[in-house]
Amino acid sequence: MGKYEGKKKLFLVIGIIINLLLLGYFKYVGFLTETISLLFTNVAVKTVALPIGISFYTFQIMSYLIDLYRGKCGAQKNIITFGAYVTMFPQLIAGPIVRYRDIELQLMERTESWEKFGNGVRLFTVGLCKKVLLANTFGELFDELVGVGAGAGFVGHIVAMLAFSLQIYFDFSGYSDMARGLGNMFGFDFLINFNYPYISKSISEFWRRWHISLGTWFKEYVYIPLGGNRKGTFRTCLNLFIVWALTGLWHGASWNFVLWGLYYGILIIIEKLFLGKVLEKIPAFFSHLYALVLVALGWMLFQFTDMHELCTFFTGFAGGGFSTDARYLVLTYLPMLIIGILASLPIWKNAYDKWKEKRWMPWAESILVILALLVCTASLVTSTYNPFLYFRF
Amino acid sequence: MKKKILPIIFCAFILIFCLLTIILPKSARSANEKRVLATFPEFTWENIKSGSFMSDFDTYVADHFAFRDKWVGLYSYASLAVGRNGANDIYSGKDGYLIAAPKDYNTEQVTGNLTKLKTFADNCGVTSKLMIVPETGYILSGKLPSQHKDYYDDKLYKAAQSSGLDLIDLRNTFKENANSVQLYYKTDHHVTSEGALLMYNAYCKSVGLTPKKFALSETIYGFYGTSYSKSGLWLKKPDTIHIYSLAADPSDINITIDGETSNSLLFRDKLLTSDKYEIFLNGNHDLTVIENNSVNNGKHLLIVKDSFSHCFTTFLAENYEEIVLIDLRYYKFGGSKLIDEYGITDVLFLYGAENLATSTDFGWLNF
Repeated sequence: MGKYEGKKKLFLVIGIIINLLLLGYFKYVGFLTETISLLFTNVAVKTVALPIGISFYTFQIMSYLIDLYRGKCGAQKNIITFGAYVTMFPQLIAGPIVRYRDIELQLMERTESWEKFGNGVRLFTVGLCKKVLLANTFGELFDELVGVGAGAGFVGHIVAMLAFSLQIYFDFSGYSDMARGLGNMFGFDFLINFNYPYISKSISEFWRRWHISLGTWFKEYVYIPLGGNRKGTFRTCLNLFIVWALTGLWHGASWNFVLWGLYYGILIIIEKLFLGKVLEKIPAFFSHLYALVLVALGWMLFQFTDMHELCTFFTGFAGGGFSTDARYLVLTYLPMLIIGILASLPIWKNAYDKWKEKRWMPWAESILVILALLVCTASLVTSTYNPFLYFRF
Repeated sequence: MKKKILPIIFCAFILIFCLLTIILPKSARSANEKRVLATFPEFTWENIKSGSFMSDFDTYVADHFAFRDKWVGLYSYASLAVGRNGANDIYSGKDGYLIAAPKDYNTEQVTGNLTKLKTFADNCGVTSKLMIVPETGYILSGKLPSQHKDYYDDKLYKAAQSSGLDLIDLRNTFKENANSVQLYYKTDHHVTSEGALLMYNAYCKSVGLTPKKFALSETIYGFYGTSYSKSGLWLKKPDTIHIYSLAADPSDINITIDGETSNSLLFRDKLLTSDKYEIFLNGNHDLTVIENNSVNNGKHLLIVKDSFSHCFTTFLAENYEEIVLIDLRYYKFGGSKLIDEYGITDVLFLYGAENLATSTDFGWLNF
């Protein structure tokens, strides 16, 4: 690098601009043209096919560029190794966002072992169950309850919010677990991405436990370069606002995601200013309740890309009544809801850690893994089972 | 050794089902799903470029996955185990009843369908009737699991009444007889022969015909219907099909389907297939013509129908010189030309409640 030392900032800027342009074109051109034609003048709304995983690998490449610039990692001159980092398939589609410097050594030299592979099987199976058995089921319940509409009443809407909160957690963390599991099988160790977010007692804590690799990315590559919290209260708030608007926009090219990001920005600023101290003092029950309710409300902002639908959903709370259809849905999904709530708590991990040295553990977990693989396969096969009442040719 | 258990299990699981899926013989169609299964996609540059090769390959693997039906069964029973009251929109009811969950009721669709029937009724120049067969779950509400969606039969009947069509209301006679006779199959959405006899008597009464006497002549065992196929609850017991014959001497009947004529309304070769209900009138066809040479009353009936009419028609054939049945899911040539062609004197619209409410094929009637 020696002779280019003076130009390294230029290279960094060029690299980042190219990456942002690619991401911007593929992900946000449709959104941009739509907004422009809505606000000012009619321009043709352009729809671009979104390359799979672009949000994730763009951020990975940028982390490499910035870390290289900062001297936190070495330059990777082997295109195969670098290609392996960018296009590593386990986490390509849904994260986690693996920083280059976290796996720099592993990329060049890693050891595959039976232990690691076994660990990977464990993680992958847990992730598969989260996605296939839990997330998909709660997704069904949420869609059906929204379909019932105002008739679902207050209870129906609460359960719908619960169902969606569980769905998105198990979906996202399930993918992350599967990615980490596959990584383990290949000898990699990716950092943990979800750490039981629903046991949080504040929104700030929630975001330290939810999609950790994304939070870290924005903190390290946006918030801190902007000055973080070192330039006074006003700048801190402004920086938080920028970070959270971008975090929202990263999740999807639509205004509701920006709103969702800002919603968290505001909550976190309030917590930083005074609420955080209050939450520490009040009984744990109330701070848990506070965090859960706000997160669940946030998910509705996240889910309904159409503001009109969002309003319909929230007016449904006041709908009163509890129709037969809604009662039927809530009661027949009740055991799964309980399973889902229990599965989102760390009790199972704690139990496993306590007993993992026991002699019976390898057999017990083998049986569980077989059962899990059987039921997941059954669920996946059933989703393609499509009987007709009369012959279709 | 211990640390190798999980890796071995995992790899073995994937490998075994991969190999089995490759090795096991493939069937071209699925009896349970009543559809043709996907064929192996053509390996051409065009297909690969357009991405259709991989997506078709996906479908192919899904359709031919080893022990596919067993997996579906496993998941259905797993669903029951976690408190769901059925699987794949079939309720697991009491006494072995598998009952179809009601679909969503779309008022516009229903009004549109009824209007199309009314338009045909007004323009066909002969008298017409509408008969709606109530859903199993509506009549046998006592057999439903405690939690279920609302059935909308009453709403549909009300809409039919206000449409101006001449409606034959089966609800009371079905409810009155539901406790003494088995009106619906347990594993199928259709009515039993006993249910069809009730329909026959109700129809005869409403058009002023004298119903003939029929007697049970044969019992067919081992009938698994469509609700069974959909549910995946493979351990449920099969139904029996009752065959009734005219108490008096057999009559002289010709039935023509797709240009082929035979002289029995019962197609026994269908008993060897997966859907034994097709013994009646040979299952679904676009156009079916039944002539009864032993009847000379000048009556020619057009039935616009779904499969709820099949068993019923085996009875009604004794009262008409000729019955023409059209199924709008297959018959796309309009109904009015049939009026002249077959000298039709009466029209009957005969549908199961759900089909009447949700079918999108009624446009073909006035085509």
